[in-house]
Amino acid sequence: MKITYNWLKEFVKVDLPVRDLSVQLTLTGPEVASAKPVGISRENEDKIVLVKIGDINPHPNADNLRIANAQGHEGNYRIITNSKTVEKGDYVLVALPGAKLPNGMEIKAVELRGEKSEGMFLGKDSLNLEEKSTDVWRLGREEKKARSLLHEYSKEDHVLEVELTSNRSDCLSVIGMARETAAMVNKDLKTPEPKVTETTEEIPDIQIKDEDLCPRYSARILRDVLVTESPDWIKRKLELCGIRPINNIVDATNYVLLEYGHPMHSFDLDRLEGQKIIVRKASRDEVFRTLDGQDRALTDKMLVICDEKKAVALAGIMGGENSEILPTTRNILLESAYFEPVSIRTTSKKDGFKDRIFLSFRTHRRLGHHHHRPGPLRRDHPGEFSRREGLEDAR
Amino acid sequence: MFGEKTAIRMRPDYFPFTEPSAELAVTCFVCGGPGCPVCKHTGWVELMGCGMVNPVVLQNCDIDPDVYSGFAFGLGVERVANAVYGIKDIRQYYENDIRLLEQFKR
Repeated sequence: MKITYNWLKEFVKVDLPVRDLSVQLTLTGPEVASAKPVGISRENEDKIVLVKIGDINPHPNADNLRIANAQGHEGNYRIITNSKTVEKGDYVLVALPGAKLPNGMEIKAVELRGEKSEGMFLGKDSLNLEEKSTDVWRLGREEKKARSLLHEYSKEDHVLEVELTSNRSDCLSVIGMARETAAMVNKDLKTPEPKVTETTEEIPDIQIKDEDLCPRYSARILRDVLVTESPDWIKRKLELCGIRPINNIVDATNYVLLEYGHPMHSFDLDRLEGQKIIVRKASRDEVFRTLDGQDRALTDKMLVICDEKKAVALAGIMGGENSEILPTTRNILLESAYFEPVSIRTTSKKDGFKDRIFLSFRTHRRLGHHHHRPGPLRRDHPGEFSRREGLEDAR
Repeated sequence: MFGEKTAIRMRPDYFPFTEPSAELAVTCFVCGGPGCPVCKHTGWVELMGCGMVNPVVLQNCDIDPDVYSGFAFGLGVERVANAVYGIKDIRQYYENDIRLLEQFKR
């Protein structure tokens, strides 16, 4: 499980440097397998700069290379790149001679097949922002947006990879790790206080048919949302922790998953027939397509979330394609529920799901569903949802 | 057994059949600390998992846990041999290479 050092520090005032924190946590219980620095360090501040590609032409002596002339604030640079996608007008990051990348590489001016290069265009992986980049990181074609994107992603931080034993699912989240850290260093855990800025009178139509497998289901309806890209600070946190940003709605539930360890799911309310939710066991041979595009054959032991007519999600495991949030989605049903962990595990094993989401229900095995808080408290997590009329951050 | 410069580390671990559980590691006998492929860049080599036998286990074997307690540990002899003799790959013990085996002549 990946979390970031700075995110952890939002919930506990620990002043240990990353190295020491990692060693101490490992000795206490949760093993910190690695702590990778991300972003642009102070020493590199003037050596990794934002530039705009002025023009780019094929390398005369190498088919797979191109020579670019790039303009930055402090000067112009001639850079050779093997990128297949960067174009004139793109904003990219260039690492200049003397820059020391987190992976240990030191940049020098070089000559490639008879042509000089004064630096190197960077992929996100050079700053440890992702595992392996397929190409150079393009920050867009507008300076203001590129600078703001860079400002967010260049923040110095560390990604902590934590390996947990199965008895420690309480640590499967930022807050979980923060709680452990707080106990370890004897400081207070800063409990989050989400603010609900909108009230609603609308009560969702929910029917739980199997109370043993689903002791508690809570939901909230959100109307007139605008599905769009998440703000950069959310995308960055998700990416660093290995989750791909999709849109503001999905990202919000994933953000809550990473931060609290509680899995939630959003349904497109208008795609739920009857605009209702029924929690029941599937019928034998019911077929259903999960949002990864795979058709799943269900059994009568599996718990499914359904609308009036059909299954719309595999409870606690994965949502269905038939109810997923689309760019045109306007109304949402937000689910926050507790499902019986053994059943989730059995179901997920049947279909080979590797999603970490169901791991979170292990937490509940320990803590019981008393720890489960109602959906409405979560819904207003900062910066998540936008209204049709414009973007509105809840923070 | 491992030489004076070797440090030992015990940290909490988890096994369903012991409570509490722990893991014992020694400083990597190849790199001595900084990190290398043998210790997977952590500087430590795990030698064994251990713990106090979970009372339920004793119960299931008709042993009264209020009277008896147990300490359980499991270690791979090859790992320990690696540490003692400085061998990096446990597969070598099974490859029957005379050049290695000869060195252990009594």
